[in-house]
Amino acid sequence: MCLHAQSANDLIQFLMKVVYPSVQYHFLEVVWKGNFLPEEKSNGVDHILSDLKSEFNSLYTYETKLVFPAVLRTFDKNIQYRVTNTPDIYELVDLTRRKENRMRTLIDELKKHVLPESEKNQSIEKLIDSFETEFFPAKEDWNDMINNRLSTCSCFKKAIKSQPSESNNEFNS
Amino acid sequence: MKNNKDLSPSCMFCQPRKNSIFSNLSDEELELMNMHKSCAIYRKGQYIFNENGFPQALYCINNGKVKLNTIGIDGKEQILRLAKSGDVIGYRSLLSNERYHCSAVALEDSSICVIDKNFFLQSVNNNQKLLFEIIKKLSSDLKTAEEHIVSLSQKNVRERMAEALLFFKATFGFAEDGQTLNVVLSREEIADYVGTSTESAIRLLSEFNQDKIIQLEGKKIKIINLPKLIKTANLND
Repeated sequence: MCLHAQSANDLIQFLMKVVYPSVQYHFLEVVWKGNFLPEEKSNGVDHILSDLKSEFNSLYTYETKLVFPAVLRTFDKNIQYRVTNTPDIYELVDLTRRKENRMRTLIDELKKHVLPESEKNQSIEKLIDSFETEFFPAKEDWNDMINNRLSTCSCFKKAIKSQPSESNNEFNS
Repeated sequence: MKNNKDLSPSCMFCQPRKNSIFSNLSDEELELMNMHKSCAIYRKGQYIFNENGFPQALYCINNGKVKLNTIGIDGKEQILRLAKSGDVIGYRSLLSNERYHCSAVALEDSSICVIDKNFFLQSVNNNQKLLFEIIKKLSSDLKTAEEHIVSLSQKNVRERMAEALLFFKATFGFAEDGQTLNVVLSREEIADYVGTSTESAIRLLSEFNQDKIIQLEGKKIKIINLPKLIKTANLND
């Protein structure tokens, strides 16, 4: 294992055991706090929350099943793994970052539409707060760590198949 | 509605105006507008104008909050927009000379200035700066409406399938032909990633196959049009 594997693993554990459960808890709390006001429902707050939850669950699935194992596998110096199956970490991180940006947009949208007189308002505000104070900062740390390793860690460098510019060009073309 | 001439705020000293379409009017123009408007207090829940009514004035919110709503074909209320202090409402119907397509209802006790229709239209004709501010306002409202439409429809299952295929490509890469995904997943597994039923996953893969985005060869998936797949995933910043 690369020396950096432990710090990556620690961050993954923090995301999986602290950050994601906290966000999931706040999603549940929104559901428990009763129905939406008619204004909120027709104004799309329920749709925004549904999209946000769907996006979050989707990111959770991809990270737990594909991204986190791929990152840890890349740190692993067992050559057999890398010869048979080399994940494109640049592209994976880029895909998850784009999903996070989508969530940021939905959070901004949510902030605009939540009406102050709503009984659910408090629980929705807590959800927004958990995204802004826990989820996004932790994801920034994760993305910074990956970017840092991509440029400095020899294990990553050896495992990279394509250059970052190639991955980005695919999306921006 | 309660008319309150004494409490009617002067346009010259109106703070919310500074962030409104009237922000660039000269003192003379403001003085003139002041003479062609009245101010009214609308109680919470009170209608400012009604859907299908003919526009008679422009409404400028001095203080308070207003919702613009319409009734859908299922009889349910649909809020189109919320307006706050400094916003103008009813201008689209006024400019297009059409009946109101929605109603405006005070969400809380609100102080609203009512500007004479003919004076407003004449001002728009004579004042290019005001006209430009209205165009900016219309453009901004159109952008908000378009973003809302996208937010309601963007997370469709087709996008999610395209996104899943991109994640598979990044994780497992291509086989030697540079097109076939280097992994064989069952339709159930793919459906699990996409967050849909197996039947929907099969249907979507078949659609992608017909659209020549992918090519299905048994359980193997060949990505034959990557740019189109990326576009379908709608993941651009």
